[in-house]
Amino acid sequence: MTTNYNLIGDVLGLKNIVDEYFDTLPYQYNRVHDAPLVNLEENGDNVTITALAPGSKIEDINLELIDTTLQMTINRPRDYENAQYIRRERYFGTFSKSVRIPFRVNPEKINAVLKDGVLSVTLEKSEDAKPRKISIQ
Amino acid sequence: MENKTINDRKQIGNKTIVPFVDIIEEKERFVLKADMPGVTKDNLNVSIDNNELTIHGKVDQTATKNQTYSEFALYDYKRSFVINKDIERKNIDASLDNGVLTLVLPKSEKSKPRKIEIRVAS
Repeated sequence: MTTNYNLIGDVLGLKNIVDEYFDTLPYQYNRVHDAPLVNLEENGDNVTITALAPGSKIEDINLELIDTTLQMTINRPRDYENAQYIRRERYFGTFSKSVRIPFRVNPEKINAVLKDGVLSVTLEKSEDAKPRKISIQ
Repeated sequence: MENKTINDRKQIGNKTIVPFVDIIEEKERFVLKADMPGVTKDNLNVSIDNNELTIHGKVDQTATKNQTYSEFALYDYKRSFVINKDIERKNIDASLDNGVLTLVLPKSEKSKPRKIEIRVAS
């Protein structure tokens, strides 16, 4: 009888053990937080930009559309000033990021929602940027 | 031959990450603040088992196919803390505001700071 070693699987298993160890460290442990983290999602004529903004209220967030660039500034005020910290991992300050939208945007149809610390901005393609069928005479 | 690799573990449940946490000590209480963006009140569970306080928040992880650029992903949050008898467990207050969980853990009477009266020696 021969023993079958699954060499590749075992090596990948070791990788997972190491990955799991680092997963138990606080999230994004080494990241520099000078800009909000964003995701971009495209759905036909819409683009949705999601950003993490835990602890920020609506009045702390400033959104500006400059031509085809969406500029987001998220302010996160410190919730304790002179406190005796036992553990301190959270980050505060002002974070801003500009995202260039790949098309011209209809300024009337921008929808921004802040829910559970996640900001999502949906922008729609402007009418004159949408493809149109040209009829041949 | 049973060939069970670590890979099987990944399939059990969602991936969890550890949230950033601040703990502040005040005179009569501890305040714990955890950043958990994406968690709703209904999906958050705070429990105490023996001396272990666990916060566990679930998020909607359904990834969208149309994502063209990504800097973050939402995962479930889980973190445990060891607490001792100095905390009044019955009066722990939890609130969730804009993705930030605040736990107020009052200190028990005997661990609060107290002023010691000085009597005049006669």
